[in-house]
Amino acid sequence: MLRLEDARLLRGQARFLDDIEAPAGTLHAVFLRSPHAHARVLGIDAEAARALAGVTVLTAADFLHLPPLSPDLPLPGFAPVPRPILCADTVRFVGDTVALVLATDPYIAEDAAELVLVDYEPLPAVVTLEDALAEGAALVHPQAPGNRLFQNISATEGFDAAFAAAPHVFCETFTASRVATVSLEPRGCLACHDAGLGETTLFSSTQVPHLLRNTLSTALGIPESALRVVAPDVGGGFGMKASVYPEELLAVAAARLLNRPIKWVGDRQDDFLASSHARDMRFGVEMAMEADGTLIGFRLDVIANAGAYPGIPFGSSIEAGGGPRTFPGPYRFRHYSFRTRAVTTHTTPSGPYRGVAAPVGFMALEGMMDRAAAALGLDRAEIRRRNLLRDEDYPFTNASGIRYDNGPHHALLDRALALSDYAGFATRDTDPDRLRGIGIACITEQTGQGSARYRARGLLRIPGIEGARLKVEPDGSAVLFVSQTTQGQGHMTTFAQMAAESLGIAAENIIVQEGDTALTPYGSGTFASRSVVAGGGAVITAAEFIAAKMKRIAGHIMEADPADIVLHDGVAEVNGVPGLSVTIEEIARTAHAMRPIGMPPGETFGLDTTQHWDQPFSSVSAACHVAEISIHRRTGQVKVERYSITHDCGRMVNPMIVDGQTHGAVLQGLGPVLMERMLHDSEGQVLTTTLLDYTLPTMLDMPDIAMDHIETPSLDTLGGVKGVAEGGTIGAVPALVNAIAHAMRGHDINIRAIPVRPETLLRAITTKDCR
Amino acid sequence: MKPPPFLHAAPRTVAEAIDLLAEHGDAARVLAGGQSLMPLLVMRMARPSVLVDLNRCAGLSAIERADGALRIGAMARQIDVQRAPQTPPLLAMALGWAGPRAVRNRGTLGGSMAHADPSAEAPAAALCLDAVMVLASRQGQRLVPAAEFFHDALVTAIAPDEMLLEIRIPPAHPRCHFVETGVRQADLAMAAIATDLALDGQGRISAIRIAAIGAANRPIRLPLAEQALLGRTPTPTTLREAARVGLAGAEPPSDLIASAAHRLAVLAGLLEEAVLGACHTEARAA
Amino acid sequence: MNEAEITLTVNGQRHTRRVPMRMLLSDFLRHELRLTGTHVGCGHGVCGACTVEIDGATARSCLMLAVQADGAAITTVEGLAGPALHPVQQAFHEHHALQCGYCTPGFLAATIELLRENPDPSEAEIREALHGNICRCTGYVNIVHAVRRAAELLRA
Repeated sequence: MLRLEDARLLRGQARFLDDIEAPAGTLHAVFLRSPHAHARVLGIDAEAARALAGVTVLTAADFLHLPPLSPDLPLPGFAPVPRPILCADTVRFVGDTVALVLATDPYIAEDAAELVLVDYEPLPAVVTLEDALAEGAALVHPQAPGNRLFQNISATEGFDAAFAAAPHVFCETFTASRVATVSLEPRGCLACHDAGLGETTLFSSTQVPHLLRNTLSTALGIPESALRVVAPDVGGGFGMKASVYPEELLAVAAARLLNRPIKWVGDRQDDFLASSHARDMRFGVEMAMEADGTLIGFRLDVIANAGAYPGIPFGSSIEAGGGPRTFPGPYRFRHYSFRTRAVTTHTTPSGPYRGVAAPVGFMALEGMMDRAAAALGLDRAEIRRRNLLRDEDYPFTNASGIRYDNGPHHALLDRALALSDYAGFATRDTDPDRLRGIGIACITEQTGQGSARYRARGLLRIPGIEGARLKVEPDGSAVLFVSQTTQGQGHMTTFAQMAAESLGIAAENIIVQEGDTALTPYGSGTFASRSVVAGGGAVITAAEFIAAKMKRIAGHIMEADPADIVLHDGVAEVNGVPGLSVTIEEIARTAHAMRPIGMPPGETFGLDTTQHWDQPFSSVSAACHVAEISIHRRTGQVKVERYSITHDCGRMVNPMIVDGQTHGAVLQGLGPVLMERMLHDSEGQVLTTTLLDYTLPTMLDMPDIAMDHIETPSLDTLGGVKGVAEGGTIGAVPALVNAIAHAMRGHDINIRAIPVRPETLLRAITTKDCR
Repeated sequence: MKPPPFLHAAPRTVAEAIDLLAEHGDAARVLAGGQSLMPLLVMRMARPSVLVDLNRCAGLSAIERADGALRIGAMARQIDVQRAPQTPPLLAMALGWAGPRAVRNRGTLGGSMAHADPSAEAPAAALCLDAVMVLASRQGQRLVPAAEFFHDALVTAIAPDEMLLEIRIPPAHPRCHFVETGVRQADLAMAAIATDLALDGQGRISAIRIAAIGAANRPIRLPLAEQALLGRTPTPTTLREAARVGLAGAEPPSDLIASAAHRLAVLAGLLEEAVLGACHTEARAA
Repeated sequence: MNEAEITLTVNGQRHTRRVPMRMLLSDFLRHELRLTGTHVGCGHGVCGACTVEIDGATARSCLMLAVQADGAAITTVEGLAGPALHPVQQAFHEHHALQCGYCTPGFLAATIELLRENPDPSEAEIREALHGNICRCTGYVNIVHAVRRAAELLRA
């Protein structure tokens, strides 16, 4: 089904944050940001700025009543550190907020910001993972000894013995460079305060309106009932907009303080400095294997650079916790030991980004499988076959305690190899000027987590539930309010389709509304591939509730047993009694006391219900990616030649949307492998702050993608769906890295860090060719 | 990212433009296509108090032959220069790499020359073709050969009170090629080679010019490579040797995109590819 | 005062306004004329989201000053559709070539220019012509398909 949301987007009628007409009297905000990675703030002189007409400058001194936040809870493994809303005496990363400059238009706000003089005393900065862990390293936070914000150590029973007895132990360390998310629309917010009512509305380009509202309430001491958060159209989020940021809190605080609407639209440099970064991680892997290539187990040492402060609400464990949890993938092994840490540095805070740690984790896992295959003389597909979970292994709980519902991993691999014509690779490897390689990645994607999972992870501020309110109007049209939000994932269509399945109302006649805490039920928001599972579960529950009620009303009208009523195409018919029907509209009018025949006795009026869904176990999607690349021998430049995916995300409500999500996810894996990296110098200065320095994949860099699907309905979700949208990234990173490594197999190089630069490849190619 | 305040002036004639530059000197910047200057303005890295906008200035966009040379007005749009039948193929090829369509619609040939971004393609082509820049000020016009025009990254021979009027290109050799590489498939040039040459009846190189992007902080000719190839048959061995001597002593920049060593390695390969490619093109009638 | 008066035609409608000389064309279109369909993704001319058509050629509106558009005829995304979608818009819809929609107006402008000059582009020509427009959602796969479909619709 084509998307219901397209027309207004195509016509330019969308309302992204900056499209919202700012009310009269709005002050436009520019955040003055620290140019130092670590410094004491000795003084702020805003006199020249304030001399400009209409300019207000607010600093921490204006918000002394707002205590710092504590993103991490004091749970085992965590070293909670405070996060000030506006820096008072210390700045901890280039981009940290020092002052809020307000003016009557954005141009003047920038002029004013330039006139604010801040007296800094620069201090030594800790920038990289290694810096943070070095002996005697400067502390980013006194509350985090050793610069460690989070640690988890775990081992399955009998691990040491099993490892000691292993015939083979392969070791490697894999590193990923920090990346930025770069949604095309930067962040922004508009805070409007009604002093009479004491109520504030915050429009924000966010993925998590309810969590934002919670945080505003806690941070600013405002009752939640006095706060409304609205996510308008959002131009991409990808996890970055699932965090709550100081700018949002300050906009509300300033609006209430000054009783003026406050509007902030981030520019691209703001975005590079102050929006969450991701995947600055290292995976040390030891893989124990039998002589025949079957896995015994893994020992991991995972480190994630969490940046200067834990994010809100995902905290410092988002990547470090996710790393070991998602690592085991589709393979069968029992022995698992890991130490995982999140360290703090004087850099931009990290947050969730599509796939979170899994793209890096699978680069490690799938990289090890290829290395073992080479060492043991096994075909790369064969070594995977010996370890992939089989149908008879299900129900399965992996070595990190995650339950998998099902997954046709062998079929996915076989079909991916066929789809990609893996066997015919040699026939395509004919260009003498280019080295060609093909890489496989078998992955799993943990989706749709519920409250149990978030509690187990110590993320108590994330409820894990979602809600849906379905309201059928007197004329039989319907509105579906969902607690999730969309940044392009097509919820207006997918959720309408899911509701339509039981309602007998066409999806085109079901309006889906999201993003407004005043209208939508309470929930968690959109992240971690949860929408179709968690939001969908609530939608299905609400739709089935209303459908059952409609059948009871129809049965009453037609004097038939509700169990014999079928709802379809705008009517209710009685099974086996052709010609006897009543329209949905008649049912709806009856429910609103607008028809001669009343409601069934005891039935409440209206067709309006709010239902929630709490997914008991995450549902696990699976895929196999095959990437084929070529490398120019004289320049080291990499071109992605072919790309194939077979994919199982359970029952697909809208296959077109599933494919679109997967394509986009591949792009966000390809970029970090070939060309994206956030660079700092040794003092923490950010070197990549524009799209000229931070290069994104264009249409010339992305291949066409062949897709094939298997639909194995989930046993654990409503509707048999599984989450989708991160798998493309999780699979693309390992598939592309393995393809590059394969292309370079005749050269003395170990591909274990991304991005893989032409320079690295050319050096190895040239060295070999000179011999 | 909003520009700081400035006075926007849109002179209608070259004389008016020159007067503005004479009056304001360093405090003025010329605005041509805007594709290079506007980013600097919005990032507040350039802060002119006067913007001399040449987009309404008459007489600066012509592309015509005169006195045996092709004369291209400084404000001729890159897309128009690229497509004009009189434009030497090397310059057209170089411009094809100069950015996406929207950039070439507004970007001007003169703007590219005057901005002198070290990775820009048009300057390298101009250098290869021995173009001559015509500069104008109140003191009159002066001609500056391309070889003396590009001084450093973002620095040219244009004085604060001068503007670039025209780029004059003498007739090109019959064969040419332009090759470029970056990290992405289409990127700012990490390194590039422009070459035009002629072959004699025996397939030997009878004339050759080679310019490089990425061998220095500005486009440079590679005279030692040119000499090494003159009179020779372009075989892999002669090409490899020409690249070796041609790039010896070159000091490419090291930056976020690539190290100096990588640029050198890549330029050698590009040089061979460019010269071979030129040899294999159809000879163009003069 | 560093202001100037400009008169220009946008989507066939004439406007006269007094604007600061430093006001960007993108801000003029979006905030003065309230044509918010043109989006700003980077502000420095790289992402292409702000692409509009000026006097028949695409241009990045974030790299132009409003005063430079005096006397110009501009078409923004709001000027493409009538009661029915423009064929290029229709093709993007049919091929799911948009997700969040932020980059889409820029892609539409670039596609219309491409197809006006090259009514039957190959996949390689499409990628070459549109590589100046960045998308973060679609991976470009469906955009390429949509442009081929749009070419078909326009040729019909």
